[in-house]
Amino acid sequence: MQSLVKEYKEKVLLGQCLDLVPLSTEDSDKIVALRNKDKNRYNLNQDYVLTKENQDAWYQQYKERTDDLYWCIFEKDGRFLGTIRLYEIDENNKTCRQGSFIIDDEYSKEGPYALEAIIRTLDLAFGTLALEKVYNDDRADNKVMNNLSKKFGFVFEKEILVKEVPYNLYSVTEEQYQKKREKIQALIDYWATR
Amino acid sequence: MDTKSLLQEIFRDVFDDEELEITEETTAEDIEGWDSLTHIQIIVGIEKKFEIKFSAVEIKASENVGEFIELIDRKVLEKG
Repeated sequence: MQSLVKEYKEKVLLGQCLDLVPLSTEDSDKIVALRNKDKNRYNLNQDYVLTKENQDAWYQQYKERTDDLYWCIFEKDGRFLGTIRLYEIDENNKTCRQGSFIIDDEYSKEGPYALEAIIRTLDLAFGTLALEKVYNDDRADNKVMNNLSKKFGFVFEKEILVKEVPYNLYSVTEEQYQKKREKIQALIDYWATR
Repeated sequence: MDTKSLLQEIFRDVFDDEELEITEETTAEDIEGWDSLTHIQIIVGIEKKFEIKFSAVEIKASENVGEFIELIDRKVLEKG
């Protein structure tokens, strides 16, 4: 598992409408600008202003970890759309968490980017990494993210507090995900060829 | 069936609500769950049903049912 994670830290996941590009310091400025937008700071419960220095320092720790995969999401035309991540990848329990998910508001209505970014990462989690359950948590008042999780078959487990803010903890198994995947993939297939 | 009725079928399918009623004034504020994701599902539903294509600007600009109807009718007419 650790060698697979290391391999995917360097590997671009090619999609149909977008590509997931492994995190590097090349994209630090874009990530900093995106994460510091007011709406994203609120939804991420980020109570500080991120700087390029913080981001680069975080990357240095990230690149040594073997349980963490972080991607920048790029449209096929090269536009930076956002970020997504699988972390706490646990070989023994066969679980991981999905998070750090942002699609820039400016582009979110232009294509099924959120849907495809999630499909690509869940396919990797359940397929290549052979995990059995993926967790995520959505800020309780973030209706878009809560709706999105449900679209992929995520099931509410319990409310948790993150820095005193209520979040909904969800989990999805491969079976639950596969029941939802076909319809979402059909939409992406259509969009990619329209 | 007129454009509004066909559009209503699409909305009912996207929001999985057979009772959903739309009017020309209906906006995202009026329908629980009409967000950027369901917006794309609506666009895809319309394009398939009416065999038309929206531009990126049109996709972003359409914010209520009346605007969708106007746009659909214009594009269907252009298509001939």
